[in-house]
Amino acid sequence: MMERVGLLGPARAALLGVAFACVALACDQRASEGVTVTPTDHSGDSGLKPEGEFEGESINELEVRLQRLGAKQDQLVTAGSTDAGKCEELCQLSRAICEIKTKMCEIADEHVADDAYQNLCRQAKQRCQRASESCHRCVQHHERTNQSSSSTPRAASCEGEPITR
Amino acid sequence: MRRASNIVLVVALGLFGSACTDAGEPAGERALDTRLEAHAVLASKPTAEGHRYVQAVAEAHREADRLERSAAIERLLAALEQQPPPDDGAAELLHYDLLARTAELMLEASAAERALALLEPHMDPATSLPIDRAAARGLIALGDAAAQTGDHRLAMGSYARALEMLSLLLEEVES
Repeated sequence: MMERVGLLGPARAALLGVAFACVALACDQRASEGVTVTPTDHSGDSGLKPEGEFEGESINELEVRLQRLGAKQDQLVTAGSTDAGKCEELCQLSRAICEIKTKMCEIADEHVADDAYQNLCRQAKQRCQRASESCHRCVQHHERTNQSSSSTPRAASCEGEPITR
Repeated sequence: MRRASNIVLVVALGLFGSACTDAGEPAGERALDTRLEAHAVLASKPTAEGHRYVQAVAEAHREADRLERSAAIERLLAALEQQPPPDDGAAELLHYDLLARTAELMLEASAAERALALLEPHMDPATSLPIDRAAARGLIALGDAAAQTGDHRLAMGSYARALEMLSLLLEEVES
């Protein structure tokens, strides 16, 4: 045991450490990109090649890169707000639907013996529930994908507001 | 929002799959009618007539904002005398929005009968409505007016139609 440890001199141990770190980083990057790579051979060449062209590291080249990344960030932010806008719209519609459900069921309560009224009330409740779930789902999805956004509509507000402009 | 704006889609929708119509109604009593005739919002071509209509409605809203309620109602009613140009989707939506706001003001003023008289000819179940919140808002106002006047059948039918309209809009946003 001691001998084996002794075979790993400081230089070899450092090289092994670097190799482990590279493997770990590669795995981590793949995981964060959500890509699953299935090993098909053991030749050591994964077939993965760097994408795009070498972008250079001069101040001008870095400035161009910065501008491009800035534009990309703007696009992502816009996409995030579009999602928030969609949730807001869904939740507004949901609130309006549930407001109507309340009105319909109030009328139905005055006609307890009338099956037509009772059916409409029951079906309006189903519509309200479905709309509320749609609102909640959208908000939860948006929260998961955009944790830092502070403009997310509240899931608790999917019911009960009248439709007005 | 995705709209099939250049194709007029006319759908006859009985709420929840079937229209509720009561066969054995006592004479003189209104049937419970939940039919919704609807069409996709029409495309709007820029025309001088459409532009004039938009300006007139915007001006009416602007003035109504500054007036007290009864004067605002009269101002909006005056604007409603002008008909939207045919086949102009934007103008059609403005028309229904104007109708709804006027009726809502009437309801606030406890003039439900007046609101009912205003809305009914425009929002009859046989009339095709644009699939939009403006029309849904009008149907809700019609339901409120009917409920306040004690016409529960009309109220229930109008709310059911509004619900159907909003459900269509919800599906559109979801897709």
